[in-house]
Amino acid sequence: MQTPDFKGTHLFDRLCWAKENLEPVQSDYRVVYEDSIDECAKILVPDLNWMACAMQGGILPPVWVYHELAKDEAQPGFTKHTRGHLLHETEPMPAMTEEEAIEYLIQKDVPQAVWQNWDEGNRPKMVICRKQQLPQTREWRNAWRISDELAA
Amino acid sequence: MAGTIAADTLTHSTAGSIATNYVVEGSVKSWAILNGTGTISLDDSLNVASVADSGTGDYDFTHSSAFSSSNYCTTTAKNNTSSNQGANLTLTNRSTTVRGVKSYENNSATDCSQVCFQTSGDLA
Repeated sequence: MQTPDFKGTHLFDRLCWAKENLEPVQSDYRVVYEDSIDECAKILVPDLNWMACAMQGGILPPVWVYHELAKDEAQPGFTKHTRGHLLHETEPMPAMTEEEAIEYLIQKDVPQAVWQNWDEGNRPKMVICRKQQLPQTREWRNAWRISDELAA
Repeated sequence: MAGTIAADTLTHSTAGSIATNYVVEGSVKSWAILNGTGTISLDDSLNVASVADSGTGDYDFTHSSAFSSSNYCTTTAKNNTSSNQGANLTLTNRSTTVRGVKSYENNSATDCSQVCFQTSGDLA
């Protein structure tokens, strides 16, 4: 199905169009990351409707838009976004492969301190893996770390 | 977009009128159903990009279309896996793009097979 020309259309309206018109895509990819030495590893799970949008193209804004909004939100005294128009008026991203979509999602939803320096230090702070490579039970979930086996 | 109706007021033949901004501003802008057991996954959603499994019963949902501020309202529900005692969901992280939810039973963090949330508020 051809994506309508969405430049200038509110992102929420595009998402509603996608929900009505696109088949959801359940990805097997998972992103395991550690953003604090005191906390267990976290696992990022892509949303099925978001994956469909990413792979369709013409719906999602470029990831730098989210970084700009995050910068605004980090300012002292932030109360409300004044540059939300970037989400709606910036040329949408073209269709991505599943792997490209995961890379985009990492830059959007994983803390920058993790993905920018993921392989610095003694061990990786982030690993992309398949769902089947993760423990199938949640025993000792709060003690999970990135294992050498997963990092290899 | 095709199929657009522009109107400031909706009028019912007997029940009266309502301004359409009540509908636009009052409708849910984000929702999801999550299976929080095993390797967690989202069953369905709107305006959600991902969910982070941040620990036992601890989930962080990320929005695609950001809210204009962090003053929005999230309501949640879950099924109880092991006990109805001390069962609740608390709201944790909150920003214009992230909403955290944590599930408890017996006053301890607990994974559960179904977590639902929906959020109302103004989008950026």
